[in-house]
Amino acid sequence: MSFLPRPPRTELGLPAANGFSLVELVIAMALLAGSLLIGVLSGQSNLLTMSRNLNMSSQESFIEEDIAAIRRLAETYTWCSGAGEKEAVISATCVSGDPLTQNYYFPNVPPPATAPDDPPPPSVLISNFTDACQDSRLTAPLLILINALPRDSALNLVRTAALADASAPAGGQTHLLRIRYSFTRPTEDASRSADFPPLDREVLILPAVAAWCP
Amino acid sequence: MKTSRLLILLLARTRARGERGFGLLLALLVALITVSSAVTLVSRTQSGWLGVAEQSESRLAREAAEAGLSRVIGELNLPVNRRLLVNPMPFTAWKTRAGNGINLQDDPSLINPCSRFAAFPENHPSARDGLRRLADPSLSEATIQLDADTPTPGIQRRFLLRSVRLSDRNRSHWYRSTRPQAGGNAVGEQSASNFTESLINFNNKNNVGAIELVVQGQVLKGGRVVATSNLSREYLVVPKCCARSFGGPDQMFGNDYRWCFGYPPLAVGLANTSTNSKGGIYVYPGAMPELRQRTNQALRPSSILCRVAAASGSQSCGNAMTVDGVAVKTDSLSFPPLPRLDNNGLPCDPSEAACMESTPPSSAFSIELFKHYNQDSVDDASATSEHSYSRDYLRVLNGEVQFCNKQYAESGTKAASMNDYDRTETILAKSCISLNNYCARQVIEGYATYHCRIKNLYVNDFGASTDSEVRQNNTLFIDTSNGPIYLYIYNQWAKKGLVSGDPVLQQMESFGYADDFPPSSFAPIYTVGGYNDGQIQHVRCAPYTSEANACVDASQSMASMSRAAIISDLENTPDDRAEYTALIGDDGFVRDVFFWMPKASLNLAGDPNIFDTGGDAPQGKPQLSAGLWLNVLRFTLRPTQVYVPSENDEFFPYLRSPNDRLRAVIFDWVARSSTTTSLFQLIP
Repeated sequence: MSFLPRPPRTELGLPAANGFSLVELVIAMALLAGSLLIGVLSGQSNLLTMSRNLNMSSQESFIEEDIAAIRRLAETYTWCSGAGEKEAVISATCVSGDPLTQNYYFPNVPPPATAPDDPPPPSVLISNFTDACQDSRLTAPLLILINALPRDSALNLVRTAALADASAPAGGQTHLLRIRYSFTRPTEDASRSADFPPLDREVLILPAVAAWCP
Repeated sequence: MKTSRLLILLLARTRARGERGFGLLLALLVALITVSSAVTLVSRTQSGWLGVAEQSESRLAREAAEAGLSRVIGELNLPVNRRLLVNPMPFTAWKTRAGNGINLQDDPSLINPCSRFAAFPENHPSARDGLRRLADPSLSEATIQLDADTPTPGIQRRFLLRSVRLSDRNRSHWYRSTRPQAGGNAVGEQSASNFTESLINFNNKNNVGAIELVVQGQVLKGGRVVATSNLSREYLVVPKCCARSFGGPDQMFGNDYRWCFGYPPLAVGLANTSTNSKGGIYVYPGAMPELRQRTNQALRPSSILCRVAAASGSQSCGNAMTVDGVAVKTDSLSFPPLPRLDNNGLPCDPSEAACMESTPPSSAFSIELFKHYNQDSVDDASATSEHSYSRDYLRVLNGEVQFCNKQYAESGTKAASMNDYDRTETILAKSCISLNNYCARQVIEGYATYHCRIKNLYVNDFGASTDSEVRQNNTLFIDTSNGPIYLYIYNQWAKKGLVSGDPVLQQMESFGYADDFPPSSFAPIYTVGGYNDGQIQHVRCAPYTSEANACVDASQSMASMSRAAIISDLENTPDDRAEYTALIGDDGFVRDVFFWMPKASLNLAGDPNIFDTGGDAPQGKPQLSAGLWLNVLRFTLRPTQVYVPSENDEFFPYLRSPNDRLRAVIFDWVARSSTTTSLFQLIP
């Protein structure tokens, strides 16, 4: 087979014996087949890797959004109503709708106008808050809110949220939240865990309201 | 035939004549391109994968640093650790806070001031482990592992505290401690204008501070650090009343309107001058003091605070280190300066030059009660000089301080008895006089307080010989229903002794007590001697406007007690009895007031009727019920009782306005809200 000018012919008009030998043909076919096989296999591997990267990217993207949502919750979470709420709804005791401002988190219970020089009367709203500050009650509603955030089961992702110092004694609670994301590693990657670290994520978040504890 | 040999033969083969095609070369070329493309693709893909992995490690390092910041600030905000938010010291020294076996009470530089009122849990990971690891470089490079609970195979995350910087609001005063890059103990450096914790207080809404933390997050794989990230964050540090949320005068720091109880109910001194070296508690041999809480007499106060800011050498806080089982504890507590009175007799701010240059009026008033002249109404026409000694009721009405005569009952349920004072609720008509010449009214933001210059308080019963008689006029009432009354017994006008012709001395002499109670024993506050001695009772009811009204409700909480304050700058030495500022006993009592006399001595004598089988009846307990800021508290003779406010009582004068002179003495601090955030990376 040649694209060059026709080979010379014999006197009988038969082509001269100047083509591939059988061996050459076999070798050429083997080379082409081998390279094709390599290409196909590497293509499949790349497709798998790209799929895995895409999945990781989706997971990371989801986690980033999830952490941002939890951080927002940790900032807006307030006890101004006397109970843990996602955010303040302006009322007599919730006088600020602006998170991270000093009057946002604590129940607003001024002394009565009729006795301005007396201490404010004991308020169950305040005592609810100060009691909750002693232990896990302060953040229990927040953990419920966090756990209610949407999850994406297709991403093989498990989120756990809990108090970081769950065993702290009364009055010694830091109110730190430990948010942990765990991946279920695809089976095909199991053998490569030594090469690529697992991408479990963990963040500690301190709700802003904790600073308003006595 | 081996493949390699075959290839050599093929390439070396001599072409036949006329064989000019290059199909095999083309096949080789295609194969080469295909394979190299595949290898390149795989390489790039794997490179991307490695890149993702490395990026992930960096992110994990940053998250470790973020977690470290949260952990550090969370731990510093624990009540037991809050002093560290404002205490300028290398942070590696924090380990003494959490060191096993170290009692917090023994480390005054680290103790939260509010621990005087409440016990904070120490047995916490923060106090016992976390903080110790933050501080102690000998512990695994002083790092905190994040994966302790649920370790991730093959990888560890941890953080390292690298720097702590404390500053005031303007950052002009600061202190920074930094851990060397190679680890080890943190070192400290300070601005020229040193940072001290006293810069952060309730005096001004600008008196807040900041704490900046630098934390390094680290990711380890196979024990080797593969990524680090340093994060710096600054938090606002705000003063806060003990056991309260953020508030302050005019709610400057938050909307907790509850009053502050940053107030020691019983504090004695080691003398706060260079000339007076003795202070504290004295219990005479044989004295039987009883020390309890006013509103719950089954409870004792947790301690007697003894101020030792100026202590040195052999000075001590008293001869007895316990009183009725209550320990005397040394404390670096410092009281606010005594109020200065300006030209109008009103308390002013010592930081203002005009205040320091002012001189209060010299006119002052003696409150002296003896004999029982007050059975009948006293009008202007019938008043005699003796009637001036029958007035026994100090109150505020219509914006002025009045001194009146309260009616007494001789019998029935309202009459004075062994444990109670007379509860007749009537002021005798026309008996009141105005003390406008001696008392000044101060109004700040609509809130009025009354400040009276008093020479002395003398309550006695010389001339009486029966219980019925003495109970008719031996109790001075201070009624603060319509506003706080502060009685200033200042050296400038105080009556510190008796001279010939003094009515008090005449009374003593005429009734034969001059020998028992010589003039030299006189004290500006005096309720001893005579048949049944004298009493002072603070009362407070709802505000009223009727001139005939008298309040008889005891005012037992600190919030109320501090509305009737006896303030004195008199200075006494305990060895010289004549120089006591206050003598209280034997049957006499003083109940429910606030003594703010940081240089003075108060002597308490027991009731002799405890042992008598006849004669005058005892007046009951306690002899002294008060918030006490003194230099010396002395228990002498027989059973005596001191009842103090509850330690959780709120301190009244605080929170009325930013201009209040009396502020929370004891408070703590909390870090809240990050003020800045910056992120930067360091090469591992």
